[in-house]
Amino acid sequence: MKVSRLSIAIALFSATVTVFLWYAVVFFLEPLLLQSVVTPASGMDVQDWLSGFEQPQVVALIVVWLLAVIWHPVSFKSSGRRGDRRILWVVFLIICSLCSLILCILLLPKTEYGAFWAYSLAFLNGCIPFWLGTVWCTPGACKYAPVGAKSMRGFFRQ
Amino acid sequence: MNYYSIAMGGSGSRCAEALIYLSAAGLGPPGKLTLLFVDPDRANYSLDRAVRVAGYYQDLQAIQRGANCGMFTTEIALTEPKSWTPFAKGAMSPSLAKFFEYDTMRHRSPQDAGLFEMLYTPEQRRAVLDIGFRGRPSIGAAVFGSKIDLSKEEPWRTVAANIASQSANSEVKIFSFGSLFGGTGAAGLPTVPRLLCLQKDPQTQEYKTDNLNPNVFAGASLLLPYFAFTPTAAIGKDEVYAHCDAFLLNAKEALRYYATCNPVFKRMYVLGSEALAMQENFSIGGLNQNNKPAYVEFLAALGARDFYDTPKEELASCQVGILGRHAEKEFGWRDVPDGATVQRKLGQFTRTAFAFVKLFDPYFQELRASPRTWYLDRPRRRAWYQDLMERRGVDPCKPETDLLLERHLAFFKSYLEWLRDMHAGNQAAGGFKLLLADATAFPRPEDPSTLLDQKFGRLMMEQDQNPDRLEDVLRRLASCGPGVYADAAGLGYFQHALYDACGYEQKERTS
Repeated sequence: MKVSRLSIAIALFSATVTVFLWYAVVFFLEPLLLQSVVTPASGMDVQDWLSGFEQPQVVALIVVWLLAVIWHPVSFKSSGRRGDRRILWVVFLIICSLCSLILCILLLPKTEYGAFWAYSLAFLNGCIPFWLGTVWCTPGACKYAPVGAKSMRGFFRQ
Repeated sequence: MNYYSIAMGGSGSRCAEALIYLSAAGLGPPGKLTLLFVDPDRANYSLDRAVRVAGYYQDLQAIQRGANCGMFTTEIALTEPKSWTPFAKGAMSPSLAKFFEYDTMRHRSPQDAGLFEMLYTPEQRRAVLDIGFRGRPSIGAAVFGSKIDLSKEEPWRTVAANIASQSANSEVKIFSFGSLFGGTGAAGLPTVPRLLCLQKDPQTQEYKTDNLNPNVFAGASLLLPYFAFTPTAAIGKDEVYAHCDAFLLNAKEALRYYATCNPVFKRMYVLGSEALAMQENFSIGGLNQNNKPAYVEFLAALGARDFYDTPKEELASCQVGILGRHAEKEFGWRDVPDGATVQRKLGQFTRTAFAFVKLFDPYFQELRASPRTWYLDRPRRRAWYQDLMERRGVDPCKPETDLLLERHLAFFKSYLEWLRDMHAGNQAAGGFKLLLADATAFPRPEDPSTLLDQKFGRLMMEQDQNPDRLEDVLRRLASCGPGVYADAAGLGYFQHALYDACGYEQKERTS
């Protein structure tokens, strides 16, 4: 039963690693999918369109990383007496998702077909890395605040 | 080893209550402790309260907290019946005259009747004794001497049989509590413990007064005057009751007896106070005689602890414990024998009780009121609740868990009330300061909202520069892993974790 500063260090490290891994997903896996389902507006090269998609996603991932980095110390400091700050976690998740989605809507190059796929991926690029970066190793009293944390942590504990 | 404790009279019952709390804090004997209450006043407030608290303790000791949990370490057993009175249940207005059949005696044996009249005044002979011996040990000694029968009557028969069988394999320690200045204790202390130290003659199978069991060791806390009261005007002119004026004289004469003919005790802890705590309520006996607990009773219970811890080799001869105070009008931890250990263990237990009453019980009540679960619902989602309760299969909404939690609450509240009243009771004696706990932190334990968070870390006057807060306890609980207390089960897991989280070992480890 040791409340250790190591737990916050692990949490911050894992959030950073998660965001970097998702960065790789955005740059290497998502283009493969989008190339097959998206048709850019006439006269636009697919590679240029993909670059236009990736740039707002990088900004969104930075926002995700910042919010995860804020979340972990907040939860580390919380005693859980007045609650486990899950409302704050939900707000952060919504901010991440909306940030990614809105940036995508504003900055995405014109598309003839398949914009829906781009918006969907942008939405997922906002919420999944934040969820992954918090669900495993939120420290202390807020450890079960992320959706599914109880099941995920419980599963790996057994 | 087996331990017995005999509580005689109201003061004895309050000492036994203190011993129960010490046992709950891990300061009791390391084995089975059988409590036996002796009081002719069946309705005595102190007796009723001590038996009730012992009942709570028995319910809670069954919880499996694991081997290293420092709480409720002593197994407490109560005799059946839980308290013994020399007067049969339902006896109409028992008196000394009725007990010895004085009217018959006058006709059959005028000489005995004459002796009886010489020893007891008409008021003493007529006085109704179902509310105690009214501060007259001479009445009680006569009744006890003629009534206790180790071979026939319960609980004596079972207790004597148990002592006989246990002493065949190991030693048995019997510790008695009673006042030297009152009625029941002063009458019972020279008689009852000695009877229990007897062994049967192998030839006749009878108890002989000079046949002491060598494996049974007796000790006692002999209480000198430490409280006083003012009788109300409602008391009749000829009514027999304990007079404060006679307390000192009674005690002096009793001490003379113990100095010259010690009945059986290997250790005697003689305790009193020159600053008498004035009691708010006066009553001859019954439920209205609710004297406040006193630090002298707490010390008497610590005397029992010392006696139980003393190896039998050191009990070869009788010794009298002497204790003093550093400051004239104060009593603090430096005046308590083994004060550092007692303060540390009682501090941990007090913080556990405080945290349970203030923080966890309201939470459990909230859970019972709204048992449903969804994502944003607060109850059930706390990390400590998930790890220490839900994952262990403990549901506070189930009747059996609910009952145990209620027992915890009742025990902890009784403990905090006792601690508060001990301080309030002694400060009533004109400026005498008891500096064992900060009783202002829990002015009304029955109302959790009155418990003061900011005093949590210094409940037992700890000189800590960085005292713990309730939030620190919650953080430690939230970080408690699943396999920490492998041998704890059910609610015991939460209990053990909470107790550890309230201790300073945890603090040192996590700071």
